[in-house]
Amino acid sequence: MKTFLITLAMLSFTGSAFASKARLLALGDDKDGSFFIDDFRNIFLNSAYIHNHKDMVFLELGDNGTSNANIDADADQKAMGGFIKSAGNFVYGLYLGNESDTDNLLRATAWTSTGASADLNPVDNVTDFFFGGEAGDIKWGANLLYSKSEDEAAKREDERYAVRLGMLMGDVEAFANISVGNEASNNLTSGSEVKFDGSSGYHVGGSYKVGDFTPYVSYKDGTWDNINGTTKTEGSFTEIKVGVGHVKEVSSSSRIYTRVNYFSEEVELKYAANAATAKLTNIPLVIGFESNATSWLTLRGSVSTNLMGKRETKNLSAANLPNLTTRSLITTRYNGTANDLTDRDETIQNATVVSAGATLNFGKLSVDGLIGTSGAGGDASVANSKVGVLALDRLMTRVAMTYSF
Amino acid sequence: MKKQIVLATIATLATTSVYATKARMRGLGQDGDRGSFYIDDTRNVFRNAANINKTNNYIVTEWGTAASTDDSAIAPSAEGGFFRNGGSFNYGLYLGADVDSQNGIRNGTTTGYAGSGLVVGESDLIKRDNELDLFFGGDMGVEWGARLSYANSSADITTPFAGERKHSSLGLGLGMVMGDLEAYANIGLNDESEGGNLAADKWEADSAIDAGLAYDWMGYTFFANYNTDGAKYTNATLAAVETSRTDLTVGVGHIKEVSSTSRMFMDVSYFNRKAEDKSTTTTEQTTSALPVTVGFETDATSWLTLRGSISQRVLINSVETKSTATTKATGADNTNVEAGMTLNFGKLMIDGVIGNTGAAGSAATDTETGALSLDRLSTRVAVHYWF
Repeated sequence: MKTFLITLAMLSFTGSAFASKARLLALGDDKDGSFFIDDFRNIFLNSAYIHNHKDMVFLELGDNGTSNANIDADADQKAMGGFIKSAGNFVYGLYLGNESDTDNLLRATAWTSTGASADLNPVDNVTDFFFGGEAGDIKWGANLLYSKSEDEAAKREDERYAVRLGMLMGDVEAFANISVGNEASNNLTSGSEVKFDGSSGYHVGGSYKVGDFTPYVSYKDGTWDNINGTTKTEGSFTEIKVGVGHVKEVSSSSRIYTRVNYFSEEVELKYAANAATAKLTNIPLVIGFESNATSWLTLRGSVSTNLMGKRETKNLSAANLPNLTTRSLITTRYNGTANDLTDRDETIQNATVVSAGATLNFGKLSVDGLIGTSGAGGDASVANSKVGVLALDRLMTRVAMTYSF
Repeated sequence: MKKQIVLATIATLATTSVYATKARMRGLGQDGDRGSFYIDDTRNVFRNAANINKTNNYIVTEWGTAASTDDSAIAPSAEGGFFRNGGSFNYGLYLGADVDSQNGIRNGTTTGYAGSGLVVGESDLIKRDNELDLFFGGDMGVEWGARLSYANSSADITTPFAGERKHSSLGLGLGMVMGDLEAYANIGLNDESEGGNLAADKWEADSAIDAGLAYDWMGYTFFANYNTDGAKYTNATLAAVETSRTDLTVGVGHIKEVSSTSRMFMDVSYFNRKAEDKSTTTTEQTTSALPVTVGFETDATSWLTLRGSISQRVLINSVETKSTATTKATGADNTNVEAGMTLNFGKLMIDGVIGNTGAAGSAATDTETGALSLDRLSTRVAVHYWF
């Protein structure tokens, strides 16, 4: 009886609706899924995770407009949400609005105008269909991503299709996410079509749990052509992650997460005159915790820094990045400072980051968010909004609600 | 003992399900003005007057501004009323309703329905204001209800012309509920504003119709709704301009009662709108969409109810505009998440929408950025008391 009750209590904690970008970001992980922390967001990495987060509704409060320049941000999160439901031996679900920052960042490299306006449609109104089942010990999942839009007056159209496949088999997890179509074009000026034409794209990886340790590896690769009239520029994107995560169950209501991994991300644009390259390489060490402070409040936090971190950029020039928004996005990500076009080969500075989050628990309903992001003046929209202040007026950002039914 | 448990359960169900405001409807991704096609809410009385038989004995006040031209999140209209059971009949009085008033179009702050930018009105026209809605209904085996809405204003002026500006409107709504079937029709009989900048300026609404059916089958509510509206503005110096729209909505909604205090909602519908702006040129716009909405509502604590919803157009999402040329576009950025809450104090409840005060905490610009502010906690606040 005691064992049953303890197990039930643990299940109540582990099976609780932890399911948001805010939670993963507060634990120092990727908002699009973790390799070793169980969270609903993992379904976008390994679609078989729908088995672990079924019979739930998920909402991420945020903006449905274009004010956030199409990149999801802490102070201006994108609205998205959906549900996952079990049906006998199968699981199915629908998720709306999960727009990829990587997709929109890479599409921006094809913009050619010299202003700040987007030349191409961003990935918008994304619909993800999920389906999964069990075959013996294997839990499998499949996800179809669909997004399509057009604007005849502006002569723009775009489409985005992808298939994500995943499996969970005991301690082994594996996934393969494949881009089936990724195109955006603007034919407003006849004979001078601007186009992002995705050639290939895939993301594969897996992990294997050994005790409390979870070694993992993933490889993401994408190639595309940026077309501007008769000029074609090949682009490529590569991301490698190899690491290990560790979860220590301190008690039934508290755990410590530790992660170290090798990370490499490289973008190359083969302009005829001079190829532009940008590369980030680092070995982050992340230590995080999560604990039920009270029956209604869970707090979490993390500190991360780079054991090694390097940025290398070359030829991020005004000629190669004529669009001001593209220039700002690319230079912010790879040079660390918006509109900094300097060639860099240096250590990534200011890499020590502390994040914090909270979950308000109301039984089957939980409300997640990041805390401590409201700046000194209570304004979470300012650039440096993490200044060690806990403001009760701007209590949370990246608010999400999860409901289990 | 069993009877007591049943009665207690019914009482609990009654308490948790008596929700009654625009904020709740919006939090669940529904129409805040006329209510939902399948979710019980007192706002539904503006769609089907027979709903007065379902929910009565309450007073509701929706906080807002008396000077609202067009009800919006940052400037909601102040309105409210009471509904009472009078034995065999039920009756109610509602003040300041702003349903399909077209005041924004009338006063030139909103342009025509076809997206051409056509202004079909002017700021000097007296808007539909201080509206009075009378409700009456009964149950003769079939629940029936009627609504009469009336507004009338005038102003004697000396500048810019010597004369009178006036407005009058009259509307009628009829509805019935017979078991799993419900039907309704709301008709705008008259809505005119005369005298703007010039005495001869006139704004006249088309005969507005909102009619529909809903049928509950095996826990799914199938619904169809036809809604048409429009206006014509005649200016003494310029040619007459018109705008109109016709909406058709066909869909199905489903409520999953997870427990006595929690429920999940889902609906999918096909929406088609044909709109026209007519001046010296004509612009026609046809919108086709398949919006999907998923939402939930739960009693987080005994004093707090939280709700949320997400809606987005899926697979079908096009806007075709025909003017000098015909162009087609996809409706952009329509992934919308809404959240709301109710503070429960027994018979008194306070509803509101949350999460739309922006990262800087300003409620002046309905800004959804995923931030929860405790200083500007809630917008569209409404208070209702059940007696």
